[in-house]
Amino acid sequence: MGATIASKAVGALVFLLAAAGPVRAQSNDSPRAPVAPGAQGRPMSGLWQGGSRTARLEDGPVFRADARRVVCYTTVRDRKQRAVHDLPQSAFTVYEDGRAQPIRMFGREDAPVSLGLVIDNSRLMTYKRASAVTASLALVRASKPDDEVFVVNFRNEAYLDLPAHVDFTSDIGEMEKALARLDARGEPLIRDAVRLSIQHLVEKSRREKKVLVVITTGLDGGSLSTAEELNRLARQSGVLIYAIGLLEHLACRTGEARRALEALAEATGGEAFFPKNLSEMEATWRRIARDIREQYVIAYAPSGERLDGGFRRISIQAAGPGQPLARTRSGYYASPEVAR
Amino acid sequence: MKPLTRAALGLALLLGRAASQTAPANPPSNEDLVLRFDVDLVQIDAVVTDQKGNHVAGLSADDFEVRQDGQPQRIKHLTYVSPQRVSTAEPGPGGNGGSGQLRRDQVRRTIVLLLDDMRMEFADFVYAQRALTRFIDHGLQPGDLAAVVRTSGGSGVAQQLSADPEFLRAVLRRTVWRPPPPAYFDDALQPVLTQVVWGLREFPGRKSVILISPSSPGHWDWDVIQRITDFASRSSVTIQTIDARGLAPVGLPDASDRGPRTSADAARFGGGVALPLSVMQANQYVTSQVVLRELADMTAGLFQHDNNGIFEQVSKAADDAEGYYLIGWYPGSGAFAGDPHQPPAYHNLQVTVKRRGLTVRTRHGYYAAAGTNPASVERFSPQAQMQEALFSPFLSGDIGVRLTPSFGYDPKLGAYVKSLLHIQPAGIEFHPQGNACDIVRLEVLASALPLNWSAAQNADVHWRRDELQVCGAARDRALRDGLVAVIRTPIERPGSVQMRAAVRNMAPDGQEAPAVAASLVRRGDLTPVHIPIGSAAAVVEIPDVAKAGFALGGVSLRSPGAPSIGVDIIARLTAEGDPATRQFHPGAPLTYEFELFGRDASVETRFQVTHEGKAVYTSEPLDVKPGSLFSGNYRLDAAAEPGKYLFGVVAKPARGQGHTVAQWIDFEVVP
Repeated sequence: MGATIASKAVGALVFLLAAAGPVRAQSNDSPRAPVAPGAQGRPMSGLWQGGSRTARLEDGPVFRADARRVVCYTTVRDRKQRAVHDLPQSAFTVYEDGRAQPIRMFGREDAPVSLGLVIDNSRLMTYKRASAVTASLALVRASKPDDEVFVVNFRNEAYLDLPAHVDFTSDIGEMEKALARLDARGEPLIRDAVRLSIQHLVEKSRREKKVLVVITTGLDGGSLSTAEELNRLARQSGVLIYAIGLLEHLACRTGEARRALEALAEATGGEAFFPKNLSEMEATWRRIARDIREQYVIAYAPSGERLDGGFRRISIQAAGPGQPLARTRSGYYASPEVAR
Repeated sequence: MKPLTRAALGLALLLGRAASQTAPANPPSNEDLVLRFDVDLVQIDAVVTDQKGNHVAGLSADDFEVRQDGQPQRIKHLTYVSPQRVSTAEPGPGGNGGSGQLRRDQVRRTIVLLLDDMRMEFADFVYAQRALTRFIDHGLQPGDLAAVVRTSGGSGVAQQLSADPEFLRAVLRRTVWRPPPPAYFDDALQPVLTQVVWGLREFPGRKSVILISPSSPGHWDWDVIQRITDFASRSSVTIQTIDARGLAPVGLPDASDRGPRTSADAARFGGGVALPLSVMQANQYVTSQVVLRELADMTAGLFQHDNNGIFEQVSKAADDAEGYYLIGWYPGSGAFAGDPHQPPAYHNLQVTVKRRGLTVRTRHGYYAAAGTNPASVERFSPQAQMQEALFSPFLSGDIGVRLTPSFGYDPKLGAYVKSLLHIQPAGIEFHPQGNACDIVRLEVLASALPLNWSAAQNADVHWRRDELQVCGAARDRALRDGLVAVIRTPIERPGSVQMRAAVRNMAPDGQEAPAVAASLVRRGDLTPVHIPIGSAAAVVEIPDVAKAGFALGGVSLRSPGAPSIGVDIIARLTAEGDPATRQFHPGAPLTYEFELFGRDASVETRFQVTHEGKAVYTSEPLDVKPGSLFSGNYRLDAAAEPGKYLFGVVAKPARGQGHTVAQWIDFEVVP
């Protein structure tokens, strides 16, 4: 038999580093095939498996979530970026795809919160861990006794840094231990970590209001989830996402990181912040802590009945002195699986 | 415990101790010689010196007294550790390959030269830079792994450790003084020092961080110092500190107070003149040294100050790792008891040596948290392990690989590096197909990193995944000689870059482990899975073709029958005299190839062969046309000595002035 050697690029096994990120993967031979979440036998999260959850009354105010009721946590600020928190229901108009919707529920209550702190622990955070920990501790300390909190430290893996069988805690000491981990190595799989954290919040939290605060450089190191998939998931979940982007040392990638975090936060009605120093960092966590507490809760029943999976754009307008501006989730996908 | 058993154990301990105090035939491995803080054993290191500062060996447990929180402890274990001097750091199978890297078992000393340049005056910086260059030239020994790290330039210790003095010199040459950046989130020294210790914790044996700092920041909390030094202790890292300001200008004020003068001034102009300071200034000066003193003191290091001889101080600090005792005792379970929700208690330690005239240096305490920092980190997905291997300073020696990078230039696409990665057959997984054919699935990652790259920066990784079918005689050759993978990496900027490459066998389709877990995991829940990986690194110079007018690239050396480096294929069999392996017999004919880039046609080009630093052959000028591959032949002398050789192409403008450029490649003459 003659000597033969044949080679081919393995197309089915797609390398998992994203094209943009701290480790930017590029193939010489074949274009990067899209990777769907759930590839390689990975089960999809329960978030997408449907099924409604019965909230317990003792857990606090419940804003019933079903396919025909859309809950919008809404932040209102005036032109000087000061919080406006004394507007009546009549000051708000909710639009879905440009059509006004009747408001079915309105409130401004300081409800207990399920808060997840998702902290980048990758090598890109080498100089920023101290700031991240400072902000996280401040947010934890600003939480209320009824709140429940968890910490996710992520790099190549996303770790729930709580003791076994504990999904959330109100114990400040526990949180401090979780935050005190020295790390900063590996690649930042931000999107995967956020996806898993949303999943954890939706599946395990007992509070109606769910918030994630993501502290990161913003550059993803090759997550399985794409930005589009994550943003879609974030919109559907009803989880409010705040992002604190520490962009120093990213050189030319600053814009890319900024855009990614802004898109993620804005999709949920949250906000992205990019503090440049410690005082700005302090202002940032104070503002997030205040935002979480001072939001209006506005729910409406969409007049459109079709659950065709199409995207429904939401906008809320607020009328009042100082030309207030309302910020809320950008929309949702009208599918039967929608839980909120 | 039964008396007999206890007696037997005592005898075993006694014998063990006696054995540990003599020079063992098989010295303990580096992996064993680490500090431990466990419920069942606390083990710390201690350096004993005589009045002249010389290390003292040969002491027994009876010569020491250990007190923990004032209570005497019974020493259960004592070992004197003296790193074995090695005559050379020659690579073994799967090793070095001219990369400046060592395998774990080849490392004798691991030294990080940490330059706190963020607050350094220019003169102090220059002085320290010169001293470090001198240390690299004259102080490093075979088996030393060293890095130069700056507080202003990143803490890429894990990316810059090298056994190659030329690499370290290049890093230092590119180290320039600069004012601190306008916005820093953290104090620079604290995170960089922590990161350096973190980066070192996986390395074998006792490691040294030699910190050269102008002074210490005044706002370090005692708690911070304790935590960093405890972290260092658990990572078997000793922090040696040197006050970069040199000779101290201390003393009482004289009548004509000349105002503050720095020690740098003294170093530059006075050569050792101590300038008087006011009492307040003297106090400030001493206070400014507190952190440096404590960092050293609490990790059993030396704090050297009031001395302009930075080279001598660095050498002394490096030599301090030459010999030390490991002292172990059982602390009792109570030492580690406590409320799990509270920070662990800190235990003070006091170690004394009973013999007269001897001094002992050791840690001053430890936190009652069991465990050292793990030598093995959590590694799960193959992708994560490959990334770690790609950026690690250690060779991953599970698969023997050799990297040959070569500069290339495309007028349209710009500069690139073509890397040949020779993969030794022992590490390749051949999957029989039952038809005299085998399947090989390989993943190769490559990255070009600037020499000043740090872990906090981005990195572009290029990859390829290939499936090869080898049949018949080709399979036999692959099984005997291995394979060569070729990967091309675009380069954005000219300058020195370190090419990194890593290779692994992939699982068959559908059997690859997932890159990301299905849900959030808790630490310790996952079982680490180690996959065999081979990695290599080599420095390559990327010329600025546009600026220089011409440049050389693509230098290769092979047997006439072997494939040219210009053949751009995914992977192929290794050939006799392959350009990826470059092993030739005396008298063998060689084919060399290179390319002259640029538009300047008036360039005089020659090639040269050197052995042990001496030119053994220099060619006549070659008739080289820019823009095309030049090929020629050369026959090795039949009496050529076996050993390492260099083949180089040197080009300079034929007329007028201009830079001479050269590209070199090593090869080996084998009997």
